[in-house]
Amino acid sequence: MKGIFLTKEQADKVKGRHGKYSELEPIEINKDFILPADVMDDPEHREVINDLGDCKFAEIEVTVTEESKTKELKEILTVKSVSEVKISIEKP
Amino acid sequence: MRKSALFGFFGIGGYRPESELLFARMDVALSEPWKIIYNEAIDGLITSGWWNELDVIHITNLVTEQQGTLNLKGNFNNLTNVNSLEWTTKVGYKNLTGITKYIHSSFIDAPGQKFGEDGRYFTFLNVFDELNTAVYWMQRATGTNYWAWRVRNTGRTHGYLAQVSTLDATALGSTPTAIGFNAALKNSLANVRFINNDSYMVPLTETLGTGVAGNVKIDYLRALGTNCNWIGIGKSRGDDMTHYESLKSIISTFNSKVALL
Repeated sequence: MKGIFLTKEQADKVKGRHGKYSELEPIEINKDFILPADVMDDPEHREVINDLGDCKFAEIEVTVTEESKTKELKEILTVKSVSEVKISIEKP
Repeated sequence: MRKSALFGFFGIGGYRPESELLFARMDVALSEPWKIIYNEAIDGLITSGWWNELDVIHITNLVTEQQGTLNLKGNFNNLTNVNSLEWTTKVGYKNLTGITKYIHSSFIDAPGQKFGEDGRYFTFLNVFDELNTAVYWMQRATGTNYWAWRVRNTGRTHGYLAQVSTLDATALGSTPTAIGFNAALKNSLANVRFINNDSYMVPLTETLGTGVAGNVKIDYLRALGTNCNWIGIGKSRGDDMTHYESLKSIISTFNSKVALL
C-alpha cells in the first residue's frame, strides 16, 4: 500500500472531518504517521491536503494474522520503504 | 409508470413522506426511475415492520456517494468515509486498499434506541462481491478491543466469530459464499445467531456478556476486499426467519432494479 508519510504536526493538522461525509485518520507508526495515498485524489480532502506542503511517500506493509486480530492497528503496519524524494502536493 | 399502488399513503409527488425527506437531503436529485425504486424500498421497509425496528439503515449503492451515506431514519448517524474508502456508483463500498480505510456511522448504543432494547441486538450487511482475504468485514468494538459479531473470511470459507467478554474468538461455522444477506442477531443473553442468506448459521449457546451501554461502536469494511451496499443496525425480531426473509427480499429487489438503471 502506498501511503503519505506525515509528521505529528501534519497529522494533527489533517485529522478529523472534512467535506460532506469524510474523515482523515492518520495511523501512527514508529512516531510517524501515514495516510493512504488515495486521499490525495479525493475531492473531499482537497483543501486540507493542499495545505500540507511537502510530504514523502511510503510503501506500507500490512500484516494481518490470527495473533494480530486484537492488536492495535499500528502494531500490524510496518514501513517497508520510504521514498527519499520529497514531493510537493500540487495546489489547484 | 406507476409509483405505487398505495397512493393514499403518499404525498403530493406520489412518494412516501419518508422518501420525500430523504430526497431533500440529497446533494444531487435522483431521476424519476431512481426515486421510484428508492421509494419502493422504503415502502417495503415500512410495511414489513423493519422501519420501526431499525435505528440505522444505509443504502449505499445510489448515484452519488453523498446519497449513499444517508441514514434513512433521519439526519443522524450518516456514514462517514474514513481515509477515502473506495465507492462506486450503483455498486457501493468496496475496500480495495486495506485496514487503514473503513466507514462508520458514529453509532453508539444508548438507552432509547432499538439496538439493545429488551436485550435484542441486530446488525446486517448485504455483500455484493466475494471477499478475498482472511480478515474482517464487520466489527463491533469499543476503544479497548472489545469485539463481538465479527465475521471473517478465509479464502472461500467464512468463519463466523462471536465473542463479547473476552478477546478469544470462536469459529462458528462456514458457508461457501458471503455474497448476499448477512446478519448477526442476539435475542437473549444466551442466544447469538448468524444468518447467511436463507439460513441460520450455527447457534451459539454460550453465555454472553451484556456489554456496556454507550460503549459500542461499529466499523465496517476495515479489511481488503470487503464490501457492502446495504447496512442496518437495530433490534432483532426473534427467531422467525420470515422477518429476515422479508428484509432480504427488499434488498435483493432494490439491487436487481438498480442493475437495470
